[in-house]
Amino acid sequence: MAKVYNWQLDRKMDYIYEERRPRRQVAWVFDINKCIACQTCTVACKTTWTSGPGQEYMLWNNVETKPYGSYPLKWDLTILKMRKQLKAEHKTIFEAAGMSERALGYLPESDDYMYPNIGEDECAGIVEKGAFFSGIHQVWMFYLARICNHCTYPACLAACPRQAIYKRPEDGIVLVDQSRCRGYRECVKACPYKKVFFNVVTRISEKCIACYPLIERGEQPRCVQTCIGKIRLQGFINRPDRPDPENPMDYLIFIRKVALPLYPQFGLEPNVYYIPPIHVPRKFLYQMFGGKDAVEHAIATYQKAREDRKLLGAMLLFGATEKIVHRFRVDDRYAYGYDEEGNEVCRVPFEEPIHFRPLFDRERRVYRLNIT
Amino acid sequence: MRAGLLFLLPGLLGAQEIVARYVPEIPFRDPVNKVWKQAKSVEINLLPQTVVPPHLLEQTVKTIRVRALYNDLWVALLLEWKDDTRDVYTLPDGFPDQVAVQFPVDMVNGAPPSFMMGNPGGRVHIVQWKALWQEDVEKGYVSQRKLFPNMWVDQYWFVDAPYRGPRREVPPYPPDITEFKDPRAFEWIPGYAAHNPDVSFSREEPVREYTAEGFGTLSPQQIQEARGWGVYNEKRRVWQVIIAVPRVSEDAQNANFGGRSFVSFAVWNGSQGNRGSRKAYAPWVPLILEGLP
Ligand code: SF4
Ligand code: SF4
Repeated sequence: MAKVYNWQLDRKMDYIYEERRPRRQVAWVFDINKCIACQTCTVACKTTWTSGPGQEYMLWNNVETKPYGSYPLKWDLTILKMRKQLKAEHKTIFEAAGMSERALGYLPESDDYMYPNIGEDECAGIVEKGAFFSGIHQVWMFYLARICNHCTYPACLAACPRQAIYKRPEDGIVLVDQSRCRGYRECVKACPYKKVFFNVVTRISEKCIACYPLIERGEQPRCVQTCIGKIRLQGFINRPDRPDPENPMDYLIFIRKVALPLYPQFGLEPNVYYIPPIHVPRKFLYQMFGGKDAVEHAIATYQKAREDRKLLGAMLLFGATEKIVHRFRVDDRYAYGYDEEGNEVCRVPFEEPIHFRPLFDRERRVYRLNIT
Repeated sequence: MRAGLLFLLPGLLGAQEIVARYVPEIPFRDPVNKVWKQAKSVEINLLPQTVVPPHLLEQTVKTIRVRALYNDLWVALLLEWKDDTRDVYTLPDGFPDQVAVQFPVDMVNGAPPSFMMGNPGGRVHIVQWKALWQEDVEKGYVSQRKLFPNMWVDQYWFVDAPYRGPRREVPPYPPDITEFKDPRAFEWIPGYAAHNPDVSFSREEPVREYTAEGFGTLSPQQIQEARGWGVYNEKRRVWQVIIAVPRVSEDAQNANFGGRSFVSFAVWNGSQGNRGSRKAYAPWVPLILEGLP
């Protein structure tokens, strides 16, 4: 076991391999507040990557309704419970593994994958009669969009006895070598997010590849490009101790700390960062997103984004371009995004221009229903 | 120190040896053929793999019974072990029963390499049998439709739609991998498209030959010559598996057999989640080809 530094936990932890951060790390920010669970991302991913035989049950991208949804079934509750039973809540899954395993984990049953939409749109409680009319009601739910986190310390990679999983030094994308895997499913067992899947036809394991063919040519992945709610931004993060304030990802994650990792306590340093949903009971969020301080800070910052041009500008980049935004800046009217070479790839106005058109269009002799 | 300990273990386990009897014809696919009775059966103790994690924590297969035959071209082993469940399929959470034999390739002063799948510079020749492959050979490829008969799929790329069965059933059923024709359809099968040597939809033998130089280095041989066959005896709840390898081979990755060699074993119980390093194994046992120098 090596000792590696996990910045999300701000401590050293055990990991099977030495710390070796990629030259730059692929990362995502998902603004949960905006997700509408349209599943466009899920379908975009499905049709792009997993429409072959043996992949039928796989959703590299899935969107589940919290608190009751989960895919595979109870992935989060199961691992949380295992940690609790072992009294290992303060240990990472690597530290809690013991001598015989490389990571604490469990292998889902086949049936656990059969209900991807379980709990969809179900609230945490019953809406009292009449509550709809009396302002904000107390029941809650939210949509959690999930992909592989392309972790800095992947459990899937740590668990593979064949070293068939690797993390690319150029961008930190974690891949299962399809020519080396022998289908042991140690990775499926070890990944707490359950984002490696077993293909029953090839009998080997597969996972999200971060749409690397797109990323390699400077474009964001399919789930990001197609997102209807414009909740997603993909980019690269620098080392946490050397953030670049002009990089929108670094700005949101390291500088403003408005986006938080999912279950950082597991110790993988996951690289999908969530802007937490603001109307959800805080205790629920503390457990999911790294504790009270982090969550309270993120929500307070988010709620003030309207008055915060730079933060708002960074958030306007979501869904504004298919290109990867490496740098951004704001002025009075626009947020600008630039690619790696410094070319402008998007320019988003803070105020949407409004045009008024006459109710009756004389030229075409029609009435308009929508005049703005 | 670890390696030293490993080399010691075979000595500790007593003076067992497997003596292969010469027969003119080997019954390659018939484990109950009485020819096997000509060879003495040896019962070998298995140990749980606990050297490299993940370990085998619960060892259900404790011993394996071995008989050996040889002729001018082949060395064949009949392996029998008790397993209460016949685990054939591979599902997201299901593993097939398996067995493997290992022979030394690179000997140093008459001593074999590490029995833990060899060591750098000390290659071993491994032949593995899987109940799943046996099923593939006997009944056709165990495909998605065999595993999930009621599964519905709208479309596979480059596979004709609507999918109709031989009797043009309505509603039509999704086609099986064995019915894919257009080569473009196979581009959507990652392991196949990446030429993973273990991904093959047509199989003639339920065994595969590998070479290894230590844990995690198992790789399939270019030349596949081994033969095998497995039968599950429901009454006795015993697997009976034959594995045969050429006695002398041109293949540099193969073991060649003189009068005295070594063999070691690994057994996996699928229903216990055994796979990969979660196995029961036996270190080297001398393998004597009776009557040969
Ligand atoms: S496409 Fe966007 S808005 Fe729709 S479900 Fe996916 S993440 Fe949510
Ligand atoms: S989320 Fe899971 S599959 Fe993805 S890199 Fe992390 S451990 Fe591996």
